[in-house]
Amino acid sequence: MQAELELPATRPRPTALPPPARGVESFFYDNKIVRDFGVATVIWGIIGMLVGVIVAFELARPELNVTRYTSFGRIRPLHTNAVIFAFVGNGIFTGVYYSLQRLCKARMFSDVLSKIHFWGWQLIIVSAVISLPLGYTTSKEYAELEWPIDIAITVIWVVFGWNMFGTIARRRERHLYVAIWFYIATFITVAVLHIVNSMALPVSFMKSYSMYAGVQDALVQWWYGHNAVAFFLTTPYLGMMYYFLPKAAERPVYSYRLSIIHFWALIFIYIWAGPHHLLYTALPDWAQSLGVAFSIMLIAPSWGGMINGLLTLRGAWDRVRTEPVLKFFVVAITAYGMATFEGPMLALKNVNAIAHFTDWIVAHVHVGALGWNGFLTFGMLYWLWPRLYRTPLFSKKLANTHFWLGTLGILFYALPLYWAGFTQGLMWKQFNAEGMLQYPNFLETVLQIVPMYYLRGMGGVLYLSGVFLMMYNLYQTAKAGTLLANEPAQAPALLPEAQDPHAQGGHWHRWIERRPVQLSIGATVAIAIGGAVEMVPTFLVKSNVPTIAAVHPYRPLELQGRDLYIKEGCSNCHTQMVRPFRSETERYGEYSKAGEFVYDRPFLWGSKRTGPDLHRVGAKYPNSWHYNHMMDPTSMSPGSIMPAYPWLFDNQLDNSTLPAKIRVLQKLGTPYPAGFDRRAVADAETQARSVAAALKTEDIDVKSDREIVALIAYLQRLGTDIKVKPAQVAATAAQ
Amino acid sequence: MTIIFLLIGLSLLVALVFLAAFLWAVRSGQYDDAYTPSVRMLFEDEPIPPT
Amino acid sequence: MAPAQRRPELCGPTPLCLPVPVLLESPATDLACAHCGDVCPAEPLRLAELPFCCAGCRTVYELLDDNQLCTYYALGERPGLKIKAVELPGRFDYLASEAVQAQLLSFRSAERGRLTLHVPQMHCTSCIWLLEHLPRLHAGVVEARVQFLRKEITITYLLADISLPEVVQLLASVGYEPQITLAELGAQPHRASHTLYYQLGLAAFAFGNVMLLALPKYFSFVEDLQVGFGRFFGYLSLALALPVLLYSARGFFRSAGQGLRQRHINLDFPISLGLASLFSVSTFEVLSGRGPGYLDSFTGLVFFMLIGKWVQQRTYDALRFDRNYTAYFPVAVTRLTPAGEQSISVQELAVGHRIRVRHQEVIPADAVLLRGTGQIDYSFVSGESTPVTRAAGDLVYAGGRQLGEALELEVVRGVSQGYLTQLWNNPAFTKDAVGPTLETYANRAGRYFVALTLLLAAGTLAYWGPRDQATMWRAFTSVLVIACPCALSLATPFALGAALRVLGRHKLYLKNAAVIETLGRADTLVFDKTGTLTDPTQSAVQYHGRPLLSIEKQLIATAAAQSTHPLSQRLARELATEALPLATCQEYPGQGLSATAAGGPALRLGSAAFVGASASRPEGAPGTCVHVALDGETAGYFTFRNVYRPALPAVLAALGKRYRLAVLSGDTDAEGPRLRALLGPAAELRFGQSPADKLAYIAAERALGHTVVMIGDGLNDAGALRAANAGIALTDTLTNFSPACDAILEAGELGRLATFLGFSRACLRAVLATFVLSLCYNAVGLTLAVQGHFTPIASAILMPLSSLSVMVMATILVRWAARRYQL
Repeated sequence: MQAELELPATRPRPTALPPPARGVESFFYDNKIVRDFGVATVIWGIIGMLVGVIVAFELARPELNVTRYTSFGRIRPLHTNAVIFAFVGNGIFTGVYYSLQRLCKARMFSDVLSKIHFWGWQLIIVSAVISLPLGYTTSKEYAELEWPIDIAITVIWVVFGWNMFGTIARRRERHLYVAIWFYIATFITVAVLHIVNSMALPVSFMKSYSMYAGVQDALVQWWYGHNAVAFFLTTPYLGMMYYFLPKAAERPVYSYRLSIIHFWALIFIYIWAGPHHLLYTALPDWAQSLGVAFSIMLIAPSWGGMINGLLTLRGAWDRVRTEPVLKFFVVAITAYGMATFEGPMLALKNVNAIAHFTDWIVAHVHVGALGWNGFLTFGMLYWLWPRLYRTPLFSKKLANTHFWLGTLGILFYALPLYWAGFTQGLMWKQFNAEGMLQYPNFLETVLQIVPMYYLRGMGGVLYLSGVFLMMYNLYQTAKAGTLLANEPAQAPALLPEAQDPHAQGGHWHRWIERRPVQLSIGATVAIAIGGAVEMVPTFLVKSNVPTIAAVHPYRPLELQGRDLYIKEGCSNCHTQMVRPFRSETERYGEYSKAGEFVYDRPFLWGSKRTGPDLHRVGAKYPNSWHYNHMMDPTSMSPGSIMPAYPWLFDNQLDNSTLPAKIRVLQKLGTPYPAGFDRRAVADAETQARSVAAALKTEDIDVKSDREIVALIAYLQRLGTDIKVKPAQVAATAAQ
Repeated sequence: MTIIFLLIGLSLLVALVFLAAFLWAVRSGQYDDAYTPSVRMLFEDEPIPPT
Repeated sequence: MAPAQRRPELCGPTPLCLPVPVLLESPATDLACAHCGDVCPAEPLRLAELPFCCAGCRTVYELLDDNQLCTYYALGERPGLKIKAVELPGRFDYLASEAVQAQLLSFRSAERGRLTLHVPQMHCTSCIWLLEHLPRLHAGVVEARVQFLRKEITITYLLADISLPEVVQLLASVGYEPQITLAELGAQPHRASHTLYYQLGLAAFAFGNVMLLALPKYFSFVEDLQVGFGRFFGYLSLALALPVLLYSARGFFRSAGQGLRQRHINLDFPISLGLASLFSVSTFEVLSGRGPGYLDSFTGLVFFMLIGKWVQQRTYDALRFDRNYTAYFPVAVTRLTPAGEQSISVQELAVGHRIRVRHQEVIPADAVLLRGTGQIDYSFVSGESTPVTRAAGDLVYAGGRQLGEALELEVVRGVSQGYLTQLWNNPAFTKDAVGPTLETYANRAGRYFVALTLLLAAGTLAYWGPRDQATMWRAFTSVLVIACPCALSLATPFALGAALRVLGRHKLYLKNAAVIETLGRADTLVFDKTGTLTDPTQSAVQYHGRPLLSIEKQLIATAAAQSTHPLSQRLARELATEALPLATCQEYPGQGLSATAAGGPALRLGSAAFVGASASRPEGAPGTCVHVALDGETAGYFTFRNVYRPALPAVLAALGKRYRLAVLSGDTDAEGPRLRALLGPAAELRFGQSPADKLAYIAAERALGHTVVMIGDGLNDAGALRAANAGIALTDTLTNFSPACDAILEAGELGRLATFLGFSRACLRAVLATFVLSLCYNAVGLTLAVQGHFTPIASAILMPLSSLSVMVMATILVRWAARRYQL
């Protein structure tokens, strides 16, 4: 794979020198792939953040939701996906491809795999950029992409792993530096998480239903969701911190031993913390408590890592003042420390009771994303570019300006949202002297925080403008220099294992030791088999979530309406989970039971209440209210920040896939009667006509084949199963 | 809640993989020296051209 | 580690040699050597404008520059090591011997060889960098890997391209001569034990997962959900805990068993008892479906205690104390055979062999001097730096270092019977070494613990038996469970481990944590004089006699500078004048030297007999004398007197307030008054002490019930160092410390001795405080246990809480003590 290139001329060597040792090999680092990923990072960063700024202002000014393709519900997932998988993802690959080669003293295993990885990943992102605005989404957070893209992600991820393990296997440095361990953990865990959470049966090319339903789906999703944060946004970045920080500071990490302990402690604990995303939900109590306990324990290793990072700079603080790279790193590590302290605090049940579903959580994740991921990426790029292009950075001053714009941006972003979060969380729970809700109208609590949304948008603009400066700065740097696409390097080859005294043991691990690649493959296979074995009972054994006799599967039209709800991204702003607090049962009605969700594929509990909870919205308003509200939200709720959905009134409902949907759901266990798929369309049309007729009585003339009809049918069904027969509630209250 | 069996099983398996990795690391002497690697990674060498 | 300096601007070609001449503050004209940073002489050697202090440094610089290895100078601040002038051409020849190689190489194939060498000089980033770039200096070296903390380098080389002596020569040529001693020859290649790491990893893994499975039980409010999972979780926890019992906890059981076999109850016994009952109770509960058991506590405790062990183990990593006298012996000697010279391993040396000992070589065995004049430096045996002169026919003892011409010797006693060996193996020296090992507080407490626990357990049985059978068993087992004095076992390693690190930072290295206890309890301090209270590298030179003219001084200085004799060198340094061109100069080994210069007198410098002085030691003159005769007429003499270490008065005054002080000196009582003034009237001063006398004195003191700390140096103190409750060896170079001591103190830190002792006392108090804390936990636990209230959740909270808080408190108390003592 090594390009045969002329070495750059260096100073002539004295003649008396012995030639380099015979065991020393010359090779070239692949810098081009690093540059490519770096460029992709910058471009996708700008796109992702730009979408972020747009959605931020869409929240403040709903009239900015101009087309269906750019309405908040559709492009908010685009923002998260672009930032997490495009910006941070490419950032990870930039860092990994640069550092792994140097830590292994070897070129990447295969240039072809590198290229497939690069272009494959960009293609996946492009497909996300196209499919999400079109409304193709699974609605599972950070896993919104539909099944064909999920498969592509799996394939490309395997290519990445292959390339990485191949490089590790061919390394010329026996010791695996701690950063590599973080990369390995990232690869293995993300692979498992992604595969397990993306399990779905396809209905059509861009539509599928989750293998799991309701509570189980929620648990899998947040097991994934939390660990995606842990193993996509944290571990690879920690690896990069352990590489680029010492490099930039030109001193070894404060305690290498601590970094090793940091890694193993994090690995053994992180994977358990997921359930804290589901506190006070229908998830069993003990599973929630478990999540809390492990979240608290996470503080120790996280802060160990942070302290290790900051102490690395001991004695170099004078340089931090002048060196923008180090400034970015310092803020990044501090943000990591803040976020990893705040996270466990938010996992405490009493804090969570206030913070959950509010903008506090949004602020929390953005401290992590903007501070930790963003700033570490920026610092890394500023450090890398001059090295890749063999020329000093175009302007340190601009980099400093970027730093201050970014820092201000984070403050402007986070502080208003913290304020908004507290305010709204407290207002929701406020009772007056008479024991009534102080703010019974949800809208009041929204209007209170709209000014904060403006400020947050400003923060985003500041942050984004800094990134533009970086792009310019890096561009000028690249222009001034020339890319050293293949960087020459030399290292002695590792001795063959048989000649290496370290490898001479007489134990069973000897086999494993000699075969790191086989080990990884074996491990993955073991996981897959184990997973399959574990999964079988899941689908064979009847779920022991208490079923409620009154809960029935959705009627075909309701199912269609539900899929529209998913398509338009309603769950981005509306939860379907009434928590067992008096403030919530007072506001919304009976709290949600696990048994009510057994036919929900996927679950639609949501994670953010920008608008009110909808789980008990069924039969609360007349059909006409929904009709008018969807046409123009402010007509029903003056001042509402919800966008209008006029296209639902024009679009004809597509029932062509309905039979397939029913068949898939039947396969997954929804008890539709046999042959129901053939009757489904007729049933849907019947119900549509009755909804249209009901609207007619309220002087609204609508064709029964419009999408709005299906959506109204779904909304009117929501949460009504157990409202109908309150006796059931008592019977299943124990769940 | 049979999903718990799946998740616990998977998590345990992942943890086992990491345990095996840990044992391998110790066994192969990865952690015999918990200082020099942190210095070594700082060195970036310009190769000398062959004569 | 010296902080890494700013590296050169990136992206340029390989940085060329960057250091610029640095002006030292004083004297203003002096330059720092571009290689080693030492002050350059008035006319420094130069290379491309860079100043060098000596040709050696310049050679290394040239070598590195030629090989584009000057990054070396950019990484650290003045990393270079001063190149010693002593270069013997055949110094490493012995390494070519097959026998030596067989012992040194850790791996060898037809083409490659690999060995690990100890390089004490490595001290900074630059050292690592340069040493790992050895392949650039020689094509035959394939790989060089540094283990910095152990100061070891592992080199793989191609047998066809480079020989072992050349490898070592290569290292020496850049200033990193490895230390190869007899001790290393016999030693196995360094191989760290991984067992503890396996145990720790397994325990951590099991602990994390069992805790996960156990947690729902504590928080579950819905009983029926529990039924489905409880069983499953129980079995899973059991499966996870079993390897912990069988593998991770093995050490505790084994140690308890060993203790029992020696009819000795150590702390591991109650720990094993607790762990065993914890596990069996849990197994019973899980299997019988009664409850979840205490498996999370069990795995947690094993995990925490292993951490304690790990802390204990890693504290001693850096230093190896187990050296014996052989560490000072050369590995190979030059044997003279009719066929010529032959390099053989010391172990092969036999009585009757003729050997050659060159300048700077150590005499390997007691031998008779056949040819040459011995100028033998016994400083490492006796601490006395003045060489002893031996003439042909004299008996020379092993352990001395020859200075000057090469000697021919005939071995009269084998290595194993030599003087040093005898000294080392003297039963008088060793008799106390094994007996009164330091019994730690914890072990002592452990015994009472067992008694108390068994008593309580029996009491619980008796009380509950007639009342409530179910409670009886629960209470009985939980008493045994609580009995596990894990917190107790953690207190000592954490407190003393932290203390060891604090002391290590200040260059007092202890053999193990128990030494801190002894230091804290000490009431008597015994000092050796020469080399301990005095600084062997310094001596005060004084001239007595008729005043010297400046040209005479110049002549003396110039002539003295020609000699390798330490006294001559010292004299030359002392007089330090401009050099005079000498007309003649001749050295008479063991006697003195004579020299003439144009326009100057004829000089004779040396012993009284050599210069014709009347008395060898003028009345009242302390120390050693060098006489001067000019033009055949005695002019006077120089005296060389030991200089006390500068910190001494202050530290002795401080120590005198609290401790009984004594000085044991092998010298005459000439220094008596000065010592008396330093130590005060109460101190015991004894002179003319043989090693056996010193030993006897210390034994007597101990018999009187005193806890004695001996501070000494040199091998002749070895017996005393061993006999004392704690022996501290004072050393000027850490690589050359005395064997068989309990602690090593760098000489420069002697001034802190009082602080160290005070800090040790504070550490003891810290350990006691943590004992009290852990006993409190045990009291709470036992109270719950005897009443039958010790539930899994109580265990899950109490056990980790006690372990963690004891660890934290121990560490914090010691840190706090360190701050109080400004350490």
